[in-house]
Amino acid sequence: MEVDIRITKDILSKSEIFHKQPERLVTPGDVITTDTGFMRGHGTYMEDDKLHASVAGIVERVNKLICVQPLKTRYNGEVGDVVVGRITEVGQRRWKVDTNSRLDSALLLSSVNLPGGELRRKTTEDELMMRQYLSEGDLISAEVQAVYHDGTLSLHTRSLKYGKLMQGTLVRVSSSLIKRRKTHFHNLPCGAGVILGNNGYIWISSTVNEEMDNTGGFVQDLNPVSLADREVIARLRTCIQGLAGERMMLYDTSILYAYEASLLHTVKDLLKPEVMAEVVSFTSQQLESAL
Amino acid sequence: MPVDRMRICGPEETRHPLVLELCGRPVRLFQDDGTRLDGRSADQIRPMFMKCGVISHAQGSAYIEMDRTKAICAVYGPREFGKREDFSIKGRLTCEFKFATFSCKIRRQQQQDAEEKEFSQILLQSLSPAVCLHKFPKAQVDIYVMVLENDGSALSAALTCGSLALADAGIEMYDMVVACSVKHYCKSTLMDPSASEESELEPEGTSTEEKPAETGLLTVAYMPSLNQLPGMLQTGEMSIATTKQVNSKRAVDCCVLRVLLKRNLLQFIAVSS
Repeated sequence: MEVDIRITKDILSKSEIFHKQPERLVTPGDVITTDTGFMRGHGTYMEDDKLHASVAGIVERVNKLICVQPLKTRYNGEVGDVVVGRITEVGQRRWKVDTNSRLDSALLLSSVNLPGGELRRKTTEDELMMRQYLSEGDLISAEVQAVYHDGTLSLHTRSLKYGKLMQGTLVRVSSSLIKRRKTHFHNLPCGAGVILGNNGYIWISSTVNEEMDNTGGFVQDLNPVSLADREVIARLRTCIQGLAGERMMLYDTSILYAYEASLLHTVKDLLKPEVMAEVVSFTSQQLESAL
Repeated sequence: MPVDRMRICGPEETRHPLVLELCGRPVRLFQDDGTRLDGRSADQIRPMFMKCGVISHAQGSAYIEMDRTKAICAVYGPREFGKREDFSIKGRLTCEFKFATFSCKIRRQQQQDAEEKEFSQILLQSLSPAVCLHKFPKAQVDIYVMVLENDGSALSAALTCGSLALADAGIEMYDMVVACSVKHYCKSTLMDPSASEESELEPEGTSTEEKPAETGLLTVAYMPSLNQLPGMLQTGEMSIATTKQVNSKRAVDCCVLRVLLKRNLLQFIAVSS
């Protein structure tokens, strides 16, 4: 069996597919401007009539507002976002969910649908049965219902398309790469379903049948997934990671183009950096020509 | 930290007898032509290498090399408190400093010993003023620094590395923190001492009346943009005047460091955006 090993110095340094030089880079403590006429945005602070940057990033100016866009931020939730998260804790009448934000989000017992879709008041028996429904380590898809003043998100799964996720793969990317769209649930024509969580967690699974999935994710689906489906999921995962590596925006069209470009190579070959670079450059060309 | 109950160790100050013998030999500070043992002048700092984003699992990470001193830092956070004892409007910072067991001339313990605990406290004390704690209430940021090879100025390397990792993690800070060590011995002041220069030296060629009145090691953390000193550690005996003089010398150093740090970080941003 052939094994491909790279010497470290031969590994390609990040290729400049997009060669646009950012205008102004700052580090924490740098003085952005001494003009006091500007409004302070995120990533800045005022000291001695001078505006300093508080994060390392790019200075953005919109009319009178100056802010610094940092490289990496935690996900800042907004009402209506679709998120994919992992249960970290089962507490009193609530679950704590890790959604790549500063603090764990809360999923209240009153915000979930009971098995079978019943709607009734939750009793003490339901509290004791919480762990049977969702326990630590489970993945869920949910929607942000509210944002508390300290930044904690309150989630809900009050629709049958949200719920526990099974039989699929999770890919984690930066939350800034997910484009805000009307819908985040996509059934790609290649035979896989994708949930693009706004928090940067992406769930890939085999195609979801609309009619069958009206149980709200309660039925434990332990059927083995076929090899063809697994290949599609693996290919999609590598494509998404390649796109994320080049900091390209992720949405259904870009993922689909990347998938089509990757069909020329086997799934294993896609893991090589130069093959991935080729696929990503092809995708970016297609996206630009489509505009 | 749990105490190691499986090994039977003597008190912390005990050393292997062979090592005692090696340490007893006098070490010269300067060569014949006035340069230090590694060819530097008294005011020169060692060449440095820095890199961000070396630990993929952490939110921010940095690696620093000051000639042979190597340190790596990982920053996790902001994330939930481990134990929710009290509600606070400010975030929390925890620092852990550790020498790798193979990093120093004498093998280190697996658990943190008193010196490492002290350095952890200094790290915490020096990095806290730089971080905007009020921006992440109820959350905590964990900083883990490990020194992979200690050839002198390990604490300064750790401080600089820690602040670089915090910037890499995107945590809001008032300013970057740079740190520098200075060794004062008799009348000479050495910037960025290596391990052999840091250790207690036997006086070379001194007569019995004249004893080396002032020897000491000063490590200073500095925030250049705000011109503030968040942390300072001094060991040895130095008069106030000497301390002031030594302090002013390190200011020059720190500015140089700051430029290096900034250039490195900017390069990293440019590549990843």
